[in-house]
Amino acid sequence: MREHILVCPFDESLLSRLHDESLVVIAPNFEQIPHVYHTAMQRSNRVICVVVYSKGSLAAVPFHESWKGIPIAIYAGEMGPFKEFMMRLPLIRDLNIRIFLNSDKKENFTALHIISSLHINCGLEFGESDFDWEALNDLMTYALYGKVHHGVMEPFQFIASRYNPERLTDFGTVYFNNPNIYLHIDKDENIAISRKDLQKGNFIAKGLNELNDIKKNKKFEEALHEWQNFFLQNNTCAFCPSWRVCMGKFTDTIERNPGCQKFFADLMEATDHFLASEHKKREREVWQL
Amino acid sequence: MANVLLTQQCVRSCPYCFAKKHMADSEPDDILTWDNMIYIADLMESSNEMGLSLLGGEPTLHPQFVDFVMYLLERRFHVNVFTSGILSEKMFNEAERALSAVSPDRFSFVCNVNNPDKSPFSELENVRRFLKAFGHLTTPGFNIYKPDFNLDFILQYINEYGLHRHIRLGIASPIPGQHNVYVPINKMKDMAKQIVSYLPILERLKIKAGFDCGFPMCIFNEEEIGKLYKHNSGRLSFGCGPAIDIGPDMTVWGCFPLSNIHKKSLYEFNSVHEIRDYYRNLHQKVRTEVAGIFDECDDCVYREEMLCMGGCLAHSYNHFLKEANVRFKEIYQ
Repeated sequence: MREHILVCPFDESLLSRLHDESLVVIAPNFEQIPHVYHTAMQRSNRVICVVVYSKGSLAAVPFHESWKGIPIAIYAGEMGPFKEFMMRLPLIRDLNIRIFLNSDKKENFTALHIISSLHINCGLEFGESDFDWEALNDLMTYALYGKVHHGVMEPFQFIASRYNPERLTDFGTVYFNNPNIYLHIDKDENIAISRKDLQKGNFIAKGLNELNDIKKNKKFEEALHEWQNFFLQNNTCAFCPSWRVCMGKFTDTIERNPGCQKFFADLMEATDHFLASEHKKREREVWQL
Repeated sequence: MANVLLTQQCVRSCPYCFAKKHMADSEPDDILTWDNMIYIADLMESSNEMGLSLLGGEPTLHPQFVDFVMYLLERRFHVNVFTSGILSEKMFNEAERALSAVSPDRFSFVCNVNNPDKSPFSELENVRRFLKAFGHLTTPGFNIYKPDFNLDFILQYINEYGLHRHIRLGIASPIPGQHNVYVPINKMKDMAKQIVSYLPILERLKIKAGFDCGFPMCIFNEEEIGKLYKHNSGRLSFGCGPAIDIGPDMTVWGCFPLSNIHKKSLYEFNSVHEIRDYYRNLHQKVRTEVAGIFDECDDCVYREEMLCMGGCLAHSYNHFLKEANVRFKEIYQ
């Protein structure tokens, strides 16, 4: 089995050419989730999850019994009417699902707060527009310092649970954007580092055969070390103590929407708190035979 | 059980309202946000307190009233709503659709009703519509603010709309330093007689009348206490403990009449127990200064044995306002 997990659209022709792969499959709509999953599972493939990107509201998603047991990620535009969402809650709780809402809508910060407090695993997807760092900080505080048990919220949980001060913690992984783990491929076998690159036509290679030698691919190599570029520039990120986590993801917006440094400093503090409390929870471990 | 104010707005202007000072001092459009509701629910849950009362003003004026109730029920809270029963058409329909089928074990209303003779027709129509839809979830509440009150209309409501066969009797309390209508201390025995005069009909109709806080025991004579004891199956309380009221702006205080004194931020406390302990200690200190509403409270053995708390603490604060600031300093904060 290959080192990388492939992120691909649902295309029966493409899937028929993939064997023994780990896959994240993007379903074209909600109705096809079971079909996408079962088709992708053929030929000894392992499906990490089925993803659906929707601009509609979560309340309008036709959650279905047949989704039980399928790992699903839903990216929705908003929560929608609370009452309708609540009607779907018992079924959502039975599903292996993570719900993402976009930061472009201010109300989504509160919606994620609600969803998490109802024990649904969820996450914030960073959109194109500038967002309120204070609101993000509030969400992070809830996710990592919450008084009572609640649904996991990404990317905070990922960062807090995977943080290692001696290496990078790339929270792009949450969104399948980490070239160490994921590669994106389209039906024509164009390969890219991220979904955005794939959509923009920024390919690093073409053809499934290229995947076997991807580590020798120059563009891939560059992508792996892209984070080092900001150390060559005299910009704020180069001096930020949280660079191992942020990796310059907000460089482009830092001037018009400052606040990331303060947020990431608070996130690091919350991570310390989270790791300390996780450590306390752990039972005493004795050596194993 | 903590009381959470969803909004400061109200649809009525009752002469006895002991929340009016608080309402007047607050921003009228100040309503509880989702984020704050979640904070409160988390604080309650982490304190192992799984019951909440929603208040106002009129809580159903909050645009997310139904959403909040559904949310709290989903989080396994028991939710009790104090309402006037006067709901807008839109809110009534929304509430009826979402809440009328919820189990009474998990959700209830206390509908504070006023004498229909003194209420406008449109208000009465609204109350009747509410009781018709939610009677099975509703306990009627009545705030006594004058000794010669009338409960007949509540008995009629109970029978007509199938309300819980229990009346929550409250006594309007003074707001220290403000003017509102309440039963003067020297008229409380007349009020007690009126309560007891209703016991025969209440018993015939199998309706219980229970006291909210602030009733002193000695306004009833021995015979009357005996009747009340039997009427309430031995569960008789003459208490005045700190209720925990949380405002939409996340301030907290130890009961409505005292809302302009000792207001704190909810964020200053880590649990509901801490809040309760804080106000209990404070109220205890006040009671060491003025034991109760009557001079006799100082030496009362029943007060010492906590059978009676000496009436509403707000009366004690009224004492302090008429004298020089000679008591311990926290009283005046």
